[in-house]
Amino acid sequence: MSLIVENVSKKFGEKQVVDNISFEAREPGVFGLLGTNGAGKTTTIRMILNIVKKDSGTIKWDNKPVTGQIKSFGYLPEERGLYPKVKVSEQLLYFAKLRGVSSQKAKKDIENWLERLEATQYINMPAEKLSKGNQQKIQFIASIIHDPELIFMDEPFSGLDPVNTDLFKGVIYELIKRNKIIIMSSHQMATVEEFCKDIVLLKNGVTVLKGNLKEIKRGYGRNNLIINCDGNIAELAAEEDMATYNQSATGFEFKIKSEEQAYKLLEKILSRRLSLDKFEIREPSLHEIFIEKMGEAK
Amino acid sequence: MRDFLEVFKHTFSENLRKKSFIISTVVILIIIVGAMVVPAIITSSRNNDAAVSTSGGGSQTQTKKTKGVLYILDKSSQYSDKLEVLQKQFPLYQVKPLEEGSAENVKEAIRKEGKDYLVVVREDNNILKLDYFTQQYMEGPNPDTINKVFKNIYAENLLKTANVPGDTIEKALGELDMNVNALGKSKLGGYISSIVIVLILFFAVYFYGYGVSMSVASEKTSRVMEILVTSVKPSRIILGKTAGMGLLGLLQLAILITVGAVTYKLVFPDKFTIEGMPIEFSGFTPMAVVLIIIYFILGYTLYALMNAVVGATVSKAEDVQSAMMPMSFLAIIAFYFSYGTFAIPDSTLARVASLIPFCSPFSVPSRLMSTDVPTWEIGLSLLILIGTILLIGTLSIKLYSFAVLHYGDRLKISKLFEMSKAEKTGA
Repeated sequence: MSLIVENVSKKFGEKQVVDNISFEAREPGVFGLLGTNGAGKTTTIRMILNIVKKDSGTIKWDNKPVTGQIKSFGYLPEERGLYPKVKVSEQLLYFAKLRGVSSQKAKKDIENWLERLEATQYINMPAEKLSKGNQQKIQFIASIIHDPELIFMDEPFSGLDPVNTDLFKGVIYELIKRNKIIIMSSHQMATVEEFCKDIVLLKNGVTVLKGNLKEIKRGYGRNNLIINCDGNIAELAAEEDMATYNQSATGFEFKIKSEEQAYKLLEKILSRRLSLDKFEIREPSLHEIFIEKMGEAK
Repeated sequence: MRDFLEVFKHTFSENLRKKSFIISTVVILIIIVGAMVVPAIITSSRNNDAAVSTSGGGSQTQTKKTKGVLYILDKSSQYSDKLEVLQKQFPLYQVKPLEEGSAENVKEAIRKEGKDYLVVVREDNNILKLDYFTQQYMEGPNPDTINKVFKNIYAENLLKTANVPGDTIEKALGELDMNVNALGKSKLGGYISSIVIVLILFFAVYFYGYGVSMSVASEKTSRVMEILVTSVKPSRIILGKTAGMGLLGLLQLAILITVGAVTYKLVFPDKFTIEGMPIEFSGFTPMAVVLIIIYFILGYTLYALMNAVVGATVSKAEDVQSAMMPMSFLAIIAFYFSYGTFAIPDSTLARVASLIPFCSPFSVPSRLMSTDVPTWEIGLSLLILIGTILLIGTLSIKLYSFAVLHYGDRLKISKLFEMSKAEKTGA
């Protein structure tokens, strides 16, 4: 099972929403579809789901061009939607049946998933009576109730408390273990970083970065220095020709040209007997790469 | 097909259980039963009031409380010994003779209180004349009844004076048994059926079409649509929904008509007539009933498909009403056009209305009730209607698919056309 998107473009009126995007998701795991608001992520997902017609390019699933609605796709849309007045069990059953699941199997699976996400007590309640987080759980179940092979998750963690976020993460890891491909779109870079092997970064419909996340990061090099310690070390850093990149309540961040530079600064700190909490040289985070890429092309 | 059936089943069962469906059914049932029972009660009480015959309404029981006093001021002395007969004829009133002197007082009392009634009998050039005093028209004993009763007694007196034998007098004054037989298709009776049919069809088409619109709009505003269209082809959704709602409409209509028919059978006597005209059901031949159902289904489908698109253009539930306006106008114009033409069901205008697809679902069934519509007209009208449905249906499915994912301002239909055209050329 693999998803291949090749040279896909889409215009709405005069506006080029998606410009010649290509990527592949061949292996089980999470694929990150990233970008600012209005970058064309949702439109891309909708084109793959075949609810928006693409202007050009090809989209293949399982080596066949995607036509019509594919039942083995699952979709957690960014804008959540449930029937407000319909019982949780009934709407999940309806969604499952629309995806071709038999009534009997669906009922069993609904119970299992509700239990897994700790929402069994809501089974007979209308959706409008549920809190936002709990509605989110129902929506999440709706996207995976038919045991899809490819799942699109648009901002899966928005509006969730930390406990439920971990619950969702657990399920996503489980899905990966069961060889599912997940296309995840999110603004929360820390979360995406945790899951994604490969990413595509879109800006105004144009691909600005693409590939294996680890390799991308390696390409940037270990040029971030993080130091948490007592006392102001900004001056010491300036002596070593390092500009303060970021100063927070807990410490400092510097951009370094070489690791030598960092060790020299460390020696100075130690010689002054400042108490040191953290000394870390690392690659940039996805968050930093994102910000940099988005700023770059302006 | 499977997808269609799932949407169909879901739409049907969801809406069947809705409070609004149950309440509206019950309320309409109450109105229907009420509308039949109330006139029946009024008619039967009027019949009691007017039980008249020369041989005396002996069957009337005197247990009812009298409604007032019916004073008789007899200047002719024709009725001096007939008070008992008069009392029998007006069992609901207390019949009392009146002296000429107190006539003014009684009239004053009638004017002020309106409880009593006065009949003055006088002779003018040897011809008997009656003056009847009541506070208001339509109150007290029916003037026609009074006239008849007094005339009969007078005639009996005259005949007796002329030595006519008793049985001849009875024959002469007895009512003739008369049956009214209208041989043509009753215009007025058919007219009533026509009004009923056209009203039922209009409201059914309008309300269930509106239901489709609301249902689509609610799926769109609640954003369920996005899950639906990624699971199932939009065409299956719009068709399944239309069919589900339509079946629900048929079901409700069937319930209402059955209850209406049963109530009618129970409440109205077998030979119930309005002024000698039986209520006309001859229009309801099996063929006509089948055609009415077909026209309901087709008319509903036509309007529902358009309404589905309207529902799909709105992003907020509040906008449904205003988005529905053009559709409502179209339906109302079509309704009045056919309503206006079936008064003369064979006129050219009526024929035209039967061919225009937006009017024909109302026009043809109503004409069927009151005239013989030529088969070719029905065939042509059905053909045009079905053709239009196919055309509008294809267009609706296209526009619907396009509109359901558009959020933001309400889409104008013209804009929708433009966008879908651009979509086509772009693809």
